[in-house]
Amino acid sequence: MQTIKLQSSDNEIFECDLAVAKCSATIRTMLEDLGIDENSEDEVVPLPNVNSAILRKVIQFCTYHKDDPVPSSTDDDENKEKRTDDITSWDADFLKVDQGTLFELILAANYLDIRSLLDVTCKTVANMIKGKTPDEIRKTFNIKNDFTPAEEEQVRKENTWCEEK
Amino acid sequence: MNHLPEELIINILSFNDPADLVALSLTCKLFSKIVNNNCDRLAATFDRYTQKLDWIGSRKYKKILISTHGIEKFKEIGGKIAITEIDEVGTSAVNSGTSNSFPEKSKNILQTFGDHVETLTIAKCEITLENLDIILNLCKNLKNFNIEVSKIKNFDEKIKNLPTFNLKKLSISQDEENELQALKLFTKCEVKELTLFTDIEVRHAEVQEIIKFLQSRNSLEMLKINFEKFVFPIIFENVYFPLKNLTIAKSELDGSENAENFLSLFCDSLEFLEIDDFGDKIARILKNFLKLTKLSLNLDRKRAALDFSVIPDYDYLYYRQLIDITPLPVKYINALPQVEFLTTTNICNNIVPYFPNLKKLIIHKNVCFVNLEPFTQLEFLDINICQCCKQFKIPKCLKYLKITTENFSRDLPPFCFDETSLEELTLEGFGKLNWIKELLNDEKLNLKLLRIKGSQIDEECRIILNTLPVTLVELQSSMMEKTIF
Repeated sequence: MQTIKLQSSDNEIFECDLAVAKCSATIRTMLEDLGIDENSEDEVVPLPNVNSAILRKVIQFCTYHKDDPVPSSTDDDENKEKRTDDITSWDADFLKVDQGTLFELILAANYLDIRSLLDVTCKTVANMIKGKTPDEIRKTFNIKNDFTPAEEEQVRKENTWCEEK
Repeated sequence: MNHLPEELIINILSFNDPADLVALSLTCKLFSKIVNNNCDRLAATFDRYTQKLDWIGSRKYKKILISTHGIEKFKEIGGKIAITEIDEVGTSAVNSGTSNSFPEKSKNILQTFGDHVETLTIAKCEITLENLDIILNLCKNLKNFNIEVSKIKNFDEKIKNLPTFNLKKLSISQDEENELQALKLFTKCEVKELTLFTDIEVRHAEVQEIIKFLQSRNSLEMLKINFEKFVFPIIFENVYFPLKNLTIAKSELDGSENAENFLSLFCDSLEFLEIDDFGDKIARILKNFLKLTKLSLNLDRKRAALDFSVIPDYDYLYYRQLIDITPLPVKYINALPQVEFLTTTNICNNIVPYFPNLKKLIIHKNVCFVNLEPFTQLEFLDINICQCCKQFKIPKCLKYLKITTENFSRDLPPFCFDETSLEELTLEGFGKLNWIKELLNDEKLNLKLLRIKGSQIDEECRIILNTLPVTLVELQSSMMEKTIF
């Protein structure tokens, strides 16, 4: 098994399966651009935007999903129905984390360009919004209401059609 | 969640329904603004058309993609908006299994909004000539018309000349028999851009017809064509063709006499040539294009068929303004001293020796390690830097610099502006900017304009910006209104 070393922002080195690392399009490009080939044993790929706790989770996710089929092309993807009820039980368990970790996973998935992780984390947050009232959403995400009563009324008025349903 | 970049918030919301978006926009100003600013992208993801139309209709929106689903509701609310772009009119005809009839509801849309429609696409719906005539008569201000010709039925009918249009773009694609007839439909149209992406082989007589049609279109400036299917010898005699802009797609033209002949038609007029891939022969005839100022190549880095060394006299090539190569196969090209403006998605090596006289450089893809210092004439640089970029050296001659990044979280960016002639600096997507004072406080720096986009500007940062030795600071941020101070 070929392995590669990944360095987190807090300088922890993770040795992981090359196939797992290549789930990340960013790492694939870096390997290509930096001319690191599969035999470069001493090369370490720096990932200054991902801390060790998150990188550990990302590797865990990619290890589980490394044999998944490659996602369809962008065009198909855009036409695909955007569902949020198709999260597998393994993914759902994997994402039973605090909100801070969940958002950091989204950032890491985006930075590392791991589409499947980005999708499933975004779906999880979308589900946390789904069906909630503005107040419930504020409580869930600890959002401060910075509208003046007049501003809030204005926004509400603009969206009356929706509340009437 | 409000600490996430806007792009990622949009990504999350693309999984939500309109009602969720409304609820979210009522939580705080930030989300209200994000939802409103991106309603087109969010609407495009809804799978329930009625909701989508409701939601769009509640906003002042000019450019939407619409299906005929929910059209009655749309009519009800639609008076508030003007549609300028309609895509896939008549999808419901396909869904309901009917054919040869353009749905009444679609006609209703056009009767209501036709005057505003500038772009119309008919690709999924089958349509009779009669209905096509009606539609085009309803769209008096149509500028761009995209139609899949195989969907036009009843060509046996006496072909009518469709009304006169000044079409900016006409796209005709994927047909087995009707392409030429379709062209005849538009004989009264003045067409500026014509796309003929056909997937069938084009026979000699047909090509002559096409050429004849094209020649009669004095207004035609841009042609997109799939040349791969022109598999026969063509002799073009006494043909003059003042085409300025030519795109040849999905094509490998190496060794094709036809390709040489075809390209040669335009050698006196062509200013822009976009081509996927070609070989030595074509490269050689490019020197005959005396007006060519823009050459766009899309080369597969792994195959990199083009070796610029086959072009004998660079001096005859005038692609000075733009050479857009995707990605940049530096291993395979010789020095191009005449190129002054380069756009590329990626650079992975030191490109300086290849473009010694470059004045303007745009790099779309994130750059990790780059040394641009040796450029002696580079004045304009637009670059995306990667999070892992450790060192980014800027040439001293640089006057305009735009740096874009995402989620930049380090204390200091990997560049410095010592001894530069920099006059304008644009920073985009840098998150917090509290390091900016340290970066820009150099007395030698004579920055006239600092432009900041997509950053969080808190009070502390605002004070810092006010103390910088910069003539003008312009803030454009998703967090605040545009402010100049």
